[in-house]
Amino acid sequence: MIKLPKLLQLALLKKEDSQEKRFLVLDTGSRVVKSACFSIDASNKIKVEGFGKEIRVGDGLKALEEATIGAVNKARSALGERIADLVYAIPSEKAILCTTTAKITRAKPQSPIKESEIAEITAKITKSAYIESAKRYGELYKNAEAKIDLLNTSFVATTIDGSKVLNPLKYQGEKIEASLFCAFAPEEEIKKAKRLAQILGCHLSAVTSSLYTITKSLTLKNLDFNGTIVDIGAKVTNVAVVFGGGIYANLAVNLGTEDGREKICEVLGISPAESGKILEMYKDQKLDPESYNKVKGALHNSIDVWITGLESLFLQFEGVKIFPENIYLLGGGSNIAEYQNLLTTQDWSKNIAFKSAPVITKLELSDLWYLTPNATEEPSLKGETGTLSLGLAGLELWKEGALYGNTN
Amino acid sequence: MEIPINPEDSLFALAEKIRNCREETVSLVGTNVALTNKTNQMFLVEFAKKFRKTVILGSNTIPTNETPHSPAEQGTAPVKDDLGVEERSLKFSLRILIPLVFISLGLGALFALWWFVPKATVNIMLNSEVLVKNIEVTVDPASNGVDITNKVIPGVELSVVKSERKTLETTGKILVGEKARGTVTITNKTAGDKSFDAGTILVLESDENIKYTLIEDLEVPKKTVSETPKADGTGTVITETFGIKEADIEAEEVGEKYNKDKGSIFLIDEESKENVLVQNDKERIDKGESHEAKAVSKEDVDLVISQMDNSIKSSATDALREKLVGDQVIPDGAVAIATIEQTFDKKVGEQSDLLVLDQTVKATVTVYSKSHLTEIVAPILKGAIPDKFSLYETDNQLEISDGIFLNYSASAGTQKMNLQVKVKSFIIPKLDTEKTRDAITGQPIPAVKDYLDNLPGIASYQIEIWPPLPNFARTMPHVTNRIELTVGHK
Repeated sequence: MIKLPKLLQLALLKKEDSQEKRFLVLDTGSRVVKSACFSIDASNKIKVEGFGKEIRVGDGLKALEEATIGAVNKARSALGERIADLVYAIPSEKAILCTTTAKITRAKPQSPIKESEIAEITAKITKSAYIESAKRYGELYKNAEAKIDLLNTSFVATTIDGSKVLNPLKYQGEKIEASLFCAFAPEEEIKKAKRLAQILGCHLSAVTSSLYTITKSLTLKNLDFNGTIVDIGAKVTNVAVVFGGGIYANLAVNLGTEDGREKICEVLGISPAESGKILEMYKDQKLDPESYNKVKGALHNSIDVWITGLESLFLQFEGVKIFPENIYLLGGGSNIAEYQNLLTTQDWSKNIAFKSAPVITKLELSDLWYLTPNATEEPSLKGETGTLSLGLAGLELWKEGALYGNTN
Repeated sequence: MEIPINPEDSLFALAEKIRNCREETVSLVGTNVALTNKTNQMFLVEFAKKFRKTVILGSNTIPTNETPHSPAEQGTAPVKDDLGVEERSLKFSLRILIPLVFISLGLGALFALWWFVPKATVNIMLNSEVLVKNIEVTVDPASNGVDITNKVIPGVELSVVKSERKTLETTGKILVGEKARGTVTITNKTAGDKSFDAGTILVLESDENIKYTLIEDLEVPKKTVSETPKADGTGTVITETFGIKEADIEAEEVGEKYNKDKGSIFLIDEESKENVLVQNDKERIDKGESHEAKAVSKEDVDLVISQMDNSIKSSATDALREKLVGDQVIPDGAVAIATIEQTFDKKVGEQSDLLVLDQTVKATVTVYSKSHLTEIVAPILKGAIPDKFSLYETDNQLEISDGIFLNYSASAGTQKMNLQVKVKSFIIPKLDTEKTRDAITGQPIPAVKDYLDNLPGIASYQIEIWPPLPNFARTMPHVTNRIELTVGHK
């Protein structure tokens, strides 16, 4: 379930008779902006109708807007018409994700739990999570004045007098223990999302994080899912630690595949545009031995630094005694074999308390069980797991009847 | 050491600056976007620790406004007054000079020790690539030596004759037992004699599937007619007397179902019972019985042949192996087997608990020497190495698979064998070890690292210097021979 902050609720004025089953997702990464256009089929699975990506030329808002328009136009070109609903993924490093658990003793255990009680519990946990998250954000960015806002909440686990229940509504009991996942982001990021939605002529139906949708994808298959998600982006690597299906916390470091790319440019004396091709040739082992070794050396050089960054991130998680041993990779870096190889072969985890030796798994589109085969079997979409996982947010909105509908 | 940084420097660039800085304490000076994030700052601290360095990020890396020291502030040395030296007494001079000589000698000795004694081991790991090549080779028994151009190596033809016996417990089933026997009376009612050969079939009238045979040839006389006058003289009385014979019969097959009580009627082919009546009117047909027994089945024959084929091929191959000398090899699948004799002691359907097969075969094979294979494969592989790479040969890295048998081909009266050989080796970038040793001789460690870092294809290296010296005296040995350089590969 995705619940949106009040400031976004205006965007969710539902059309009662809407049969709309299409929506756009926008994933603004540190280097590339990606967009996908989805439709929901008769079996309640989602089909990828179009996909587009555009490299950001520069770091400013203008560059972001241009890349967004380019990517979205490519994504919706197949349908030839405007899509009303936009699910926006905030860059994961900007999001503060946490799961907060609260214990409540009810005054009237014999009475069934009402919606108003659940709303009250949610509000209490959210308030507590907000205070903690604001503090965390302030510490991370050394900005105690920074304002954050709620993106979405989702109940991870609820027990009533020790028994686990999926939905506590109408149950009786004295002691409720509820774990609520909350996602927050700085106000300016939400403003940015609104601005982009306005440019695209879409309604901002949800603002979320791909770390959340990936985790939710895995959790819906295994309610007690424990694992660590490592999203290796172009300029940022995000790590989220998940316990019992809820994201406990997330941290990011500004290291990613772009460092290797720049190193390749430096070593081979080529332009950034050429480095993409060189990297592809390297992956396919089509380079001459000398260039191959140079690229390999450059990649290893950057990944050696990256792996220290990853180790440093793990050491900075507060309150995690033992990390789950299952590590799931996604993002552009997961498509470069060296990252997975080094994680598997190097003794980087010796200072980190893992339950057992880390097991590295690359997340594939097949893990997104709600996608139709047209997406999971399409070679050009391989590696776009993070962006396509955002489809889950749209699917859940549709199930709640919260898709706005076609504005035409 | 202070390192200026730019606002747009990536975190990776900052890390590299720290790594490349030669000082142990690195102070990053300037503003930078990445450093506004605590996790990035913590990373740089951890990263610096890895290189035993301390990083100072300052107060949010805002540049310090320290004014450089002016030469004057750096200190003005007092002017030395040497004039008094000449006026000092000899005694005073000796008191100073002698210790100075000893100190100089000591320093000289220390210098000599520092110059000549240290030794260093530099282990260089090169990035290696795997080179795999499949090579087809012909093994020719008529060849006298290795022919690299045509990829031919000499071979030797070996053969053995091998006999083996295989005994198998049979699995087939047949019915065995006694055939029922008895005596029947055959009555000839016709006007002609009837003769029946031994083996004539008698079919039970009530069940045409129950058949018997006559044991012996039999003649049954015709009926006789006699005419006698009546006593009253009014005419004559005609009397017919049928020909009757008893005959022994035997059931066609074993089994109890052929046992029949008295009174059964039998039919003989082409004779009606009105003409020839056959019945066991005197005794029961008896003693018929049957039971199941083991016998040879078709499957038993197939199985024993298959077992024999596997076993005799294996033992013949073992016998061939015993004939190998030196490093000769029999390629898998190259042994040819020809059957000379094959005898079964029982036929299919025959009652028996066991089936015995005796077989004799001739096994032949062409064998080759592994050294010949290496001799031919190594130069071919070397020809396939890309420029700027060399074969990593210091630890005999050539992995040559045993030859995979492809086929035999006959030409000019000899049978040649074609093999495929897979050769695997590591190739490494070419590194001139002598030049490298010369280049690093006497160099300070940072300079050696710079030099090695810039060599192509180097994955990692390790420098060990003995004895351990303080940093200011820590250089590579000044005598090239005291540097041992080893090259390995990843």
